[in-house]
Amino acid sequence: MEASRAGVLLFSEVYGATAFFSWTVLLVYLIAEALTRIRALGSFLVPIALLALVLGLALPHDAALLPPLTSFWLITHVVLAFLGNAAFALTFCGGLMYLIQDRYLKAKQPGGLSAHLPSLEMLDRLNFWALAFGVPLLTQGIITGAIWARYARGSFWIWQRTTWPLIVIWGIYLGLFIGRWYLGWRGRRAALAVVVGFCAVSLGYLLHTLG
Amino acid sequence: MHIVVVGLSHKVTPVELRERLYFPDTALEEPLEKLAHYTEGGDRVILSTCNRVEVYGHIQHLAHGSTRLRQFLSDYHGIPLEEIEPYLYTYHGAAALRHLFRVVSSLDSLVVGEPQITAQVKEAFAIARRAQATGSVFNQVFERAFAVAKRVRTETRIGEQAVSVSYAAVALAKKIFQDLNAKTVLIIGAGEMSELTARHLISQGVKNLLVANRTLDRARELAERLQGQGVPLGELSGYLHHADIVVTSTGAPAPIISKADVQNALRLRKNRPMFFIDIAVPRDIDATVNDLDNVYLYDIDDLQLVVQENLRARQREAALGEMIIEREVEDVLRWFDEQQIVPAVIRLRRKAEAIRNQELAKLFAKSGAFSDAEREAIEAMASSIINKLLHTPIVRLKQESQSKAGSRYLQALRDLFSLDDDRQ
Repeated sequence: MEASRAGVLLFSEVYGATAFFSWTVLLVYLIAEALTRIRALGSFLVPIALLALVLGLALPHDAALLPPLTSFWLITHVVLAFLGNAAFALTFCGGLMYLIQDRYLKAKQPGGLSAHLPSLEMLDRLNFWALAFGVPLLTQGIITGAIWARYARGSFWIWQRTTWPLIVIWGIYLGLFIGRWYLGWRGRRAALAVVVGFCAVSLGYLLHTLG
Repeated sequence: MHIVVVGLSHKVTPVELRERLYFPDTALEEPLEKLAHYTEGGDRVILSTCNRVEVYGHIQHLAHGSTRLRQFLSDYHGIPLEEIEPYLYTYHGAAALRHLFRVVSSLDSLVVGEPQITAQVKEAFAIARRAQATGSVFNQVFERAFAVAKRVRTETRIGEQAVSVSYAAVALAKKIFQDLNAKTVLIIGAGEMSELTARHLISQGVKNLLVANRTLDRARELAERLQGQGVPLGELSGYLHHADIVVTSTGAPAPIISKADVQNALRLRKNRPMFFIDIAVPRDIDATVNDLDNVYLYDIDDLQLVVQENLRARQREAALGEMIIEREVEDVLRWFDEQQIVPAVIRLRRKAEAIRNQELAKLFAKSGAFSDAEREAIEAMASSIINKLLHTPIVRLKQESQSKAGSRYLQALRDLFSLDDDRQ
């Protein structure tokens, strides 16, 4: 575990972080495609992974920007948070596909992209499950992050620029999940909400990581 | 390879003439028997469907081959040749092969990609085979045709999209709903089209069916046929929200489902999507219903547009099918040429052997004063001369069998050595 941690997870630059996120997105994509057999997922998720990599290259390369990854809590925090966000990336793609498919069906045009996309119901279910996995992962990610902060910085929570975006992110996704499960939010509006939500969340993530 | 096909199809020939030339498949043995006289006993198959009548024959003397097949059609049905001649098409050799492959792969059909034609040709071939009207040539060629048809069907998408209104509706339903067996379908009005669509939906897994009609008895009657439940039309707002798919085709002069009705239903079903298929004219559902989120409304024109688009897509796939067929035809032709070479080579060798034996016999008869060792040496030399002489031509022939030159060489060999004359 020590060796794999050192080899795979040890990064101190932002570039390393985004590369790792890219890797997590691909992992989630492989799992999702295996489970759902939606082949179109690749064409949506892989660009996100690519975008993450490119973003990493574009951002400043200051070495001391991130705390050193030696603490168990910090590593767990990062892994959980990234997995959670990758799940949200999945909902983003599902939402996007839903919107596209909905567009085609409304416009009464059967061909083109529509033939390659799965049914609306399947995409809806995908979003639901991705949210159902993503929210707990993110919650645990935040909790482990707080525990690490207690050890490394002295207190569980400090309200600062790097931390309040997390609450917003968490709030958005919890809201989406509750809306889907209890309030029956589904269909086009819900798809739009996850798409917009993920964009906001990505911004929040950047703020959190870069400060 | 002298394959000939003569026939007529829906493309040019009106049904009045096609029906007069029809061969019922319950009674193909007799025409096949008669056809033997025209093909000199060569392989023959008769294909007769509602859209085409074709006669396939394997005929040695090509010059009269197609004329004889045409004559057969005229003689058998008692229709003067001049009457059918303008509608007939004829193909020989490679073109005949290509035509057969195209027909069996449904590329020549009225609706490209239709599934019936392959089975029809298989049946026609099976009957001919049972009647001993086919030999090794047609057995190979037709089996190959069926394999090609399978290839075309699996490697292209010609059979995929729906080309009828009811199938198109079902395909759309599957784009909205993942599995249909937990969904409820509501049929309003008891017309033929809505029943057909309902049946298709049932065949795709739908189990919950509601039937509504102005008169409850008619509703119950259709519901029973479809194993569903009859409901009174007057209480529509009470159960509309239960339906995931609604198919309407009443004769009402004005819409019976308004935007408000659908909004209400959506609210009650917590926004789960609804699919409306309105095949009535005048339409039964207010067109503005399509503006609502999570509702998809298709009227008869929309469905027909979908069908047309799918037909165009099939044509594009058909082009791919043609390419596959082209390559298969070349393959078969090559195989045929190779088949011809073997017997020719055998006859050549036999001829050479015969000459060798004749000359040796003459020599040993004349001057018998050869020792055994000398005899052996002479015999060996004779063999050696023949083998060395024939070796290069035979090897070249085999090599060139793949090319156009090959068949010319073969023909030249046959002519120059008179191989076809004395069949030893």
